[in-house]
Amino acid sequence: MIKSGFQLSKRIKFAILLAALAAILLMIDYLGLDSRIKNALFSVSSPLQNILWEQGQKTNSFLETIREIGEIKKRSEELELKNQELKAEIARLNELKGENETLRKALNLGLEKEFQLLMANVTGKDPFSDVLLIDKGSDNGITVGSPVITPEKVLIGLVQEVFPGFSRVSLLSDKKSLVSAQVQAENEEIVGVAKGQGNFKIAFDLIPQDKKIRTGDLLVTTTLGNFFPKDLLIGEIVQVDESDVKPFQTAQVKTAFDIENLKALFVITDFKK
Amino acid sequence: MALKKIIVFSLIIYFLILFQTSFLVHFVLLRYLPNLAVIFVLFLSIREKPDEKTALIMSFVGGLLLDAFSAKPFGFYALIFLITSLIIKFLLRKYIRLEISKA
Repeated sequence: MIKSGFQLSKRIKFAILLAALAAILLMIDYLGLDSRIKNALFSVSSPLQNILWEQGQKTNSFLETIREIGEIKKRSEELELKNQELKAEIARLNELKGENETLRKALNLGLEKEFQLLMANVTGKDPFSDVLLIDKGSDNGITVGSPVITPEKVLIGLVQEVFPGFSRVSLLSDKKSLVSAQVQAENEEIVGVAKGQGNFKIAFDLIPQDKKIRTGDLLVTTTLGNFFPKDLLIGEIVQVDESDVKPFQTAQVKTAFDIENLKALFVITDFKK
Repeated sequence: MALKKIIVFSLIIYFLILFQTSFLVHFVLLRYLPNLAVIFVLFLSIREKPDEKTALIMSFVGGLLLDAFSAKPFGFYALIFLITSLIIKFLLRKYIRLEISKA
């Protein structure tokens, strides 16, 4: 009983103490003494506060720099990636530009008026024979035997084999190639056969002995057999092999196309026969 | 001895508040700045023997010091700290009694 009374009085004392403290604090606020107290404390603290403030700024600046280095690195990686994407885009646009130029060249020559054309790109070459691989096939309407030309109207060869998405083109210089050809001489047409010799070499054979051909003459296709349109350029006579013992003359022909520069080609799917 | 303790602890709280208000405030990366004075007062209240009163006094003094550096009305933190410390002491005392009664 005494103990509980003691505890009660202790609690009351405590409550009174708390109330007194609250009242003192309220009085301080009410009388505006708090600003004086704060001012005094600030005055005492300001030297140390200034030092801490400066050090805080420096430390924060240092940490910010470290954080920024990480961000710059990340940003640099992003830009590197973007740069690669843009380079790939430039390469694609350059390819399109080349394709566009090829088409313009073909349009200027009026190829589309004479033939039905299908543009194709060279994707590979057979290392053991004069055969190219192009990126268009039977799905695009190419058939075996279709002539293949450059935008400059130079005959390259014939489609030898067709796959759904690709075709093999046998070049005129392929050993199996035999094309009826003619040389436009002064007043006459000298007809013969352009035979593939392999390694990008062509021979103009079966030229009658009484016909006169010269180096520099241009060899073009004939309509014989209706395999090719007329007057597609094959090449230029570079050497005439005359022999009295042979029944025919033979000439060496330099192809009009350069295998290194072959990129875009046209497959003639139909022509006026 | 108790007065010496109070003076030392008051100085510690004072420096903690200065450190917090002048140094830590720069670190914008820390979204939530720890209130070092509160942590210290809570630590004292928990560690102190149930019958000691130093933590209570320190709570009030710490609150007053924090009030001086804050924009709140003078006495705001002082009373909050004091009441918080009282509650902790009450809970701890009750807890210890239970432990003793078990023993």
